[in-house]
Amino acid sequence: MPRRVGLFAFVLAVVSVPAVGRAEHKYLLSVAPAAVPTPLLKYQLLPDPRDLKPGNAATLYYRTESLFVENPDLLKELRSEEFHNYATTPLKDLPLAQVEGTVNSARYYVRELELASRCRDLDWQIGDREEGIALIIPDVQGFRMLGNLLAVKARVHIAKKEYDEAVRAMRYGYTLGRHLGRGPTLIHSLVGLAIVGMMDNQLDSLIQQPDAPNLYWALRTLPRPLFDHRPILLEESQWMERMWPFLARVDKGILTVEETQAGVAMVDKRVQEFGLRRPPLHHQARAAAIAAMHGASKTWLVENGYRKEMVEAMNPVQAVTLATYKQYRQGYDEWLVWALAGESDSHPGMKAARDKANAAGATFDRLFFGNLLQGLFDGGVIPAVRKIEETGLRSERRHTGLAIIEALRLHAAKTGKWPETLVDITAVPVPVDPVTRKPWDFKKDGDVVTLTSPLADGEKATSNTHFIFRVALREK
Amino acid sequence: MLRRAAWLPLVFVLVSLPAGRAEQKIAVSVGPAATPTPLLAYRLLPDPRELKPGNAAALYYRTEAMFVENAPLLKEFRENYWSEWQAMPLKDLPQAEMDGKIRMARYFLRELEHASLQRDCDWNTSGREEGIGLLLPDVQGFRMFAGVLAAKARLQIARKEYADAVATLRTGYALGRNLGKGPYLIQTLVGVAVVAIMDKQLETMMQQPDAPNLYWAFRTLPRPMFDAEVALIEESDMLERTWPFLRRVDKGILPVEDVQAGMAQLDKLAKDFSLREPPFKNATRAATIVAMHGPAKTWLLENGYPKATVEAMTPVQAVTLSLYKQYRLAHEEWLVWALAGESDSHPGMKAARDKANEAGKVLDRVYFGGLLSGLFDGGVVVAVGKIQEAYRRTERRHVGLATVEAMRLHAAKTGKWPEKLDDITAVPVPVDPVTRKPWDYKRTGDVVTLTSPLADGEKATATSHHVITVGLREK
Repeated sequence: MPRRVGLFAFVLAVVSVPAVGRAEHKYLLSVAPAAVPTPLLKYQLLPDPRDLKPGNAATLYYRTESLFVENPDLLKELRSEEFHNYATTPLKDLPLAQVEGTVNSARYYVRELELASRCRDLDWQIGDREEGIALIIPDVQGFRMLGNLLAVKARVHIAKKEYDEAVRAMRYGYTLGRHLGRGPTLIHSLVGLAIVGMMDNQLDSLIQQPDAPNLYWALRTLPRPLFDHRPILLEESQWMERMWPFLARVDKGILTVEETQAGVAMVDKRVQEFGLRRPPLHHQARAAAIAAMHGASKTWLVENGYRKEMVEAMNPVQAVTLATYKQYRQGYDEWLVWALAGESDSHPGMKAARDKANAAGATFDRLFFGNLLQGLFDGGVIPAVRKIEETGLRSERRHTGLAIIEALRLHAAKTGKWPETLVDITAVPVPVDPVTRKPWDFKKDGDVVTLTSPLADGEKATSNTHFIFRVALREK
Repeated sequence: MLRRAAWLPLVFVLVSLPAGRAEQKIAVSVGPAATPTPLLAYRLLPDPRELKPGNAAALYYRTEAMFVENAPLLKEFRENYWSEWQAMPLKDLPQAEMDGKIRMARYFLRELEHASLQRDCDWNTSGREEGIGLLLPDVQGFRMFAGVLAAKARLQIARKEYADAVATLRTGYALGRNLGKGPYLIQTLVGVAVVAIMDKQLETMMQQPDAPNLYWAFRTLPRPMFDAEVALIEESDMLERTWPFLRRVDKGILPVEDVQAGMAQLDKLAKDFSLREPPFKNATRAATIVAMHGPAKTWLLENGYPKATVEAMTPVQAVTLSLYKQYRLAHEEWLVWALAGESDSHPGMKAARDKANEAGKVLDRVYFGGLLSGLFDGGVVVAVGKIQEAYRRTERRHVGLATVEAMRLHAAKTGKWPEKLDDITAVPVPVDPVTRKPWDYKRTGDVVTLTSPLADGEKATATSHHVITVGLREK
């Protein structure tokens, strides 16, 4: 049963672009002129907020997966590699009858996802669980499978030129992705990003069809940012205290030996409950480690404002736990404010705070958690926020690129010719890059336009930061 | 994939007792036991003061959703050994094997426990336009969880871990009761079945020499434990949700296009349900409608529709409207009786029920091709009496068990078993929830027979007539 430990790295790897040798993300498209639809918001990639109904979307998302309890055969089919690959199979090669049959078998599941997409509220109801990092969330991977189902359904509709239906299926998918993006864990958010990526792939295919509608306003009216990780970062910052409530108690004056023993027993029980493979240090080894750290812990506590007589009156376990916890908390909180401010963890100040929290977390891990935490986030207890933010920005940059292409198509439909520069486009505002706020680079060479996302000052060209759309311009 | 329509008969089998039984028999052997301190040390439902804001249904669904990544465990949950363990003598339980299996299920059971502690329960399936097409496979899954909870409680009873056993059963009782709050009768019936599964383990527990006395645990259960009102109202417009045209058919004179659109809804329904349509379906339906047109017009005129309106209606609208109105009027008449808690053995209620069923069957024959037979031939309208009986059976069983606990309490306090129920003065002996009369108490030596009283004119059946044979022990 997958736990969040280890799952994070896996999911991050799944949603990330291969880093090796890739200095940009390239898309090759071929498009024709297309005017905006009437009404302008005929196509929307998220439900119109005016159409939302009271209710909690998460309940229906969970219900969708619960329906598989009586239909394991369909579950197996949807999880198969063959079905997964249909989402990226070229339209002309798609075995339509076969794929349509499977999609039709799953229509009740799609219906639940549709109803969930139209709910006004969202509460996954696992936000404050005491399991902390050990809470199992297999349902989240299941949503990835459902995202793929919606992508395949959209693809079938595109192949059949049923564009309204295709956009509708994508809308359920974008909503599922965005709902997952609201947490409560970073894994939810990463899976949400992956689902949005699946929908974007279908959008790429859709806008290349000869008679495809223009989705300029659909893309431009998406919320910005599409993913906001700040609430999740706050939520995740408390997992240690939830797993080990004793930490909230350890700073409440001098504890008795019995209270301290109860606190240690609490964490041992928790580790045992979660069936961790590696046991924490044996009692003797833990006692030796604590004895070795006692002096340094006392010094740290006194230097950090604790009264000497109070520190001396604490038993060694309390003193070491308190000092380690406070260092962890201080480092984490310092890193957290940088992260909430949207700074990159490549900054030396943020990196130092992260290292401090990770070092204290590693001590906790060694003493009490049986090295469970070392496999958490990039080898530490702090998430690698840069990678997550980059993944989110990748999505926004991709949408910007697609919106520019839609602006090109719109211009061509209106004027009868393709623009020579982006400035030529006056019917709609051409979006700027969401990170640098600069316009994208536009190069036209005959019937081919190359759109390139601008780098920020000092930014390195990577597959996350550097987007190139090579767009072949057709008459029809 | 099972749909709502096909489920009801199946669930009835699950919650019903074998036919031909004139009473429900329980045999227990008990020793004296005082009430615990505090009196509510054991509760069969979570203390309302401890409930947290949140929706239990979301977490119940999440519990099942977790199988998406663990199909082998779902298979394990479906194995027969869980039900075998629920009835196996305690001494024969394969404890080590059970430990392993229950450990595998621990994350699921923990999720159920979390769900039980939520303040609200909204299954988010009310008002769904799918009508009888709504899928409820999740409901059967919850019955499976009840089996796992019961097996876990039985293991804890065998180990004399009574507080833990009651905590496990509490999660099960909460699941049963939360299902009972569902908008569909099927959910409430599965809830009844889940509670019965928990009751079986309680019967075992109270027979253990040092088992705690659960008198107050029983007596503080909510009354009624199950209430059909929400589901009856929710299900009452199932037909309209299944065929939305029925809501439109009474809105004046419809143009042919509107009526055709209504018929198209039926075709879509048939396709959704993968119904094999008979040859010449449209021709047959047209002939039937032509034959019914005259009586339909007459009925509409007799029931207050202006002649000009009736004559201006297409035959399809006139026939559909008259059949629908006959169904709806009779159904409403039956519904008010049902909501009033009356038994459908009453001639007035029976007449309304028969009338609604007859109209429903004609609608089914003309328009639905037999799709609704589950509703009208053995379904909701027919079955409400049985549903109410299933609810009452649960409450009667709890009254019987609470009476046994009152006896144990009396014996612990006075040092002797009561000769009659009136001897018990330490706590009030509960009366029958239906008749409001005391149960019959007969003592022969060390055996007491408790019998539920019949209401005036009530027939002794496995639902109405409970007999609990209680062997009295010193310890």
